[in-house]
Amino acid sequence: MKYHLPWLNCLLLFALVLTICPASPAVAAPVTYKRTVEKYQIPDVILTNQFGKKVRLKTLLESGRPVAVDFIYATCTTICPVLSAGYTNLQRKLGPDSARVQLVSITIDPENDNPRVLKEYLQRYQARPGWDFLTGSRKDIDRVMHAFDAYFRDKMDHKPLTFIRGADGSWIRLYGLISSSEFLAEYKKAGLL
Amino acid sequence: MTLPTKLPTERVSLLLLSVLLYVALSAAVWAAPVAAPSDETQRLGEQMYRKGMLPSGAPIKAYVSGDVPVDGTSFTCVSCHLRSGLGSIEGEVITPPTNGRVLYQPRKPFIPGSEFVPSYANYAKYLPVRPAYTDDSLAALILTGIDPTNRSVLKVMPRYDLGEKDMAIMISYLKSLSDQPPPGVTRDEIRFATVIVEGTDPVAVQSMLAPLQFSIDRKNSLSTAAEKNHRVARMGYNMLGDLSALKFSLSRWTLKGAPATWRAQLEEYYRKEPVFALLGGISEGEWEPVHRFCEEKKIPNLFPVVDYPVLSDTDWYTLYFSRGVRQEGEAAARYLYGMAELFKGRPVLQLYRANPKGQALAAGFRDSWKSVGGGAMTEVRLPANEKLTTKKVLKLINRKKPAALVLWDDAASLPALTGLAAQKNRPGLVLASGTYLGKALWTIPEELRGLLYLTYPYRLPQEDSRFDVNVKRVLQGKPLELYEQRIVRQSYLTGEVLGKALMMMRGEYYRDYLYDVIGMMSDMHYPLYERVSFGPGQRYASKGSYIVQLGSGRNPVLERRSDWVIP
Amino acid sequence: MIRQGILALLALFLLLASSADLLAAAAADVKLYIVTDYRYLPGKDKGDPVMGQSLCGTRCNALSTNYLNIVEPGGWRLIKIADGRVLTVPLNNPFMGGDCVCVVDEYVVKVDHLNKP
Repeated sequence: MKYHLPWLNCLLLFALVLTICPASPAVAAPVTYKRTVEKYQIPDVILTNQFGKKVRLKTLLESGRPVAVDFIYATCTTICPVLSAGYTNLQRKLGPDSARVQLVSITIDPENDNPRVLKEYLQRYQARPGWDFLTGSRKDIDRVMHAFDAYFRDKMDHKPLTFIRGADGSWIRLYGLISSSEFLAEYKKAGLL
Repeated sequence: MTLPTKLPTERVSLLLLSVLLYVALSAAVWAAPVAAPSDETQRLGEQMYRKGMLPSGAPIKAYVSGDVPVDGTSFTCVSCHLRSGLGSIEGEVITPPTNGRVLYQPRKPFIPGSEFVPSYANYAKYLPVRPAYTDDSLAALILTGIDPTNRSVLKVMPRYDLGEKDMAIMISYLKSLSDQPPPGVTRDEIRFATVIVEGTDPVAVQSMLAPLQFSIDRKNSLSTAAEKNHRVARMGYNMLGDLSALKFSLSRWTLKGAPATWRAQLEEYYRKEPVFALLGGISEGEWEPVHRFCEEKKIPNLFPVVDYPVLSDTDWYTLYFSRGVRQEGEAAARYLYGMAELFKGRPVLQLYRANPKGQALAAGFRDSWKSVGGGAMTEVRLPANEKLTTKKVLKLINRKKPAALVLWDDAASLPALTGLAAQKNRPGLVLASGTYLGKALWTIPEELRGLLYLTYPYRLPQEDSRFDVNVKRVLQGKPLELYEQRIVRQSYLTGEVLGKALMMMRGEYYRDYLYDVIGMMSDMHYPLYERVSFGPGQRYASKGSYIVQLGSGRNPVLERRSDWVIP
Repeated sequence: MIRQGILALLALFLLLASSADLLAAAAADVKLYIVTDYRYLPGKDKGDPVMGQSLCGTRCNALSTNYLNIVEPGGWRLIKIADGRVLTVPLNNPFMGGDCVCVVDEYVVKVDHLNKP
């Protein structure tokens, strides 16, 4: 019995600690994401997709299908895996119907991210039809970033941003490291699923 | 209960023996040094850390916030904690170090005004206080995402389902990351070397060396000033940490004879003087033996001045200015592909000289053209001593009727293009290499200027001249004209990147960390290249090449016809 | 003594003034464009609009200068002299006709006497 007492003390202390200390935020990350609804003017630029084909951005984003847009780059370390996991998860939920939803990722590192690199990234996240990754000239990419109020002078300063296009053409702006389940919930909330 | 006043002798000796045994066992477990992990353990741990794959070969099962399952191969440890394990900063997300040396120390509260904090991502102001990890609490973190202060990391970091054996391998690997100081780094100095291939043009060598030597000398003079003056020392320490007191050295390693013999020479140089990293370096031809040496010995080499870098998507230890001569061929292919739909089935005709430069340009064009699914392409190889004649050009044009003619040769071939503009089956445009033409670029016959498009992998001269003032600063008073202009500007970039990287490392001088911090650097607008950019794992700093035409008149300027990076 | 000092200062001043003039003369006011928008005008050729827009993007963006090339070296300033000027330039592609409308902000580059590096 003697030998179990110190262990029991620790357990009691631990239980006490649990009840007193509230759940704390994660290491250096925002606690929740911010959700706002905005109106954006999409510039008429021609970008290039993972197959090297020219894509008119306005046509892609105003196709009538549900659309989501995020800004990432292929060698990104921390933020992009979280955002892309959200896309992978959504596509998994859509099953064979994945092309029903247009998921768009736009690179903020057009220097490095040529079509071959874009294709490899999509393969890494098991992307299915419906998820396109776009690059373009630096000036055109800058214009698109400005249009979405998501301009970063350098990719190292980028912030996690995802946009969902509402049925009325307005954009739901989700700022923060949104988890896969939160992203799915937002998508459903927009009435698009 | 009363204690016996005297215990039986057998009981005492048994008690003593068991106490001794217990002490001995404890000593063996707690005091003995941890046995160095076997090579196999290291390899498996590295596979888990870098690839997200279990020793069994299956992907690690990971769960992100909300218990959503993901493949461990999409959420590898290396992607956030980086190869050195010393963490990263991206936008507003800070990933703290995950190497054993840091984890098994407590993180104390940050006191403003206190001494210099090591490691770029160990940004003490923003990271929470925690006690030292133990093997058990570290395993708990990895499995559940809860740290020893009961904080959850699951917002940013997944939790990983590792079995006991796999967890032990992982923890042993984490303990090995960025643990011991690397060769070439001591308390007092960091040693560098530069590799020079014997027989390289002396002006080129001097152009490569001058800016590097300037960086080294200036740094050492600051250290000397710090030694002699307390105020300089204190200011230097607050800004740079122990970097302010360290001295640098730069040895010259000359490689003689055939490239096949270089490996042995490099091994000998390294044996005599183990250096932290190689800076610069120059070769007019081969570089591969040096690249392989660095890759195998895990020695960083920053920015060798070479025309034919080794191209790899996965090699880690050499950082190049660009993909070399080949990059111009690749840019040309992408430029033409952008309008290839308009060719109406007409092929592209590629003529190239059978020498290293011509072949590299042709290979760059060919591989890029094929990989984007460009249309018909036909090629003609020009033997080394065959002069290109107008007759041959016209014969090819009339036979193949190409939409575009790509010509990788020097200016001696330009006269063969006279009269091409008037031909019925003329190509829509002719592409050539601006660097291959060299000085003759400026005297292209007026009648060809409308037809001829050139690759030009640098900022336009009329804009680059503004950067002369920066380059002059590292020449210690010597005139700019003494040097090879391109190389001295390249070397200027090396000095700048080195200085910035050393400052960002904040005392953690590890080879993998050198590249991890370079991967976190923002884009640079420095002399020569329009733009130089970095990123984790990226090893070719300049990714662009303009397509230009020569303007008209007697003092023409180059005019852009494309963007710097053609998508 | 003082007169010699003043003469020396005067000589120095003249030397500096003339070198500043030389610098200004060498760097005669350079005009440059920064493009903000572009549009393809097919003209009578009726070229494919996506290809036309893409090639006009290249054409207009090639006219545009990266302002960082001016401000990074130090010692130069950009002064805006026109906002949203509309330039119509021929597409100049050997395989496709038409024009490009480039909307540009026009700048002049001057030596920065105030904030010399």
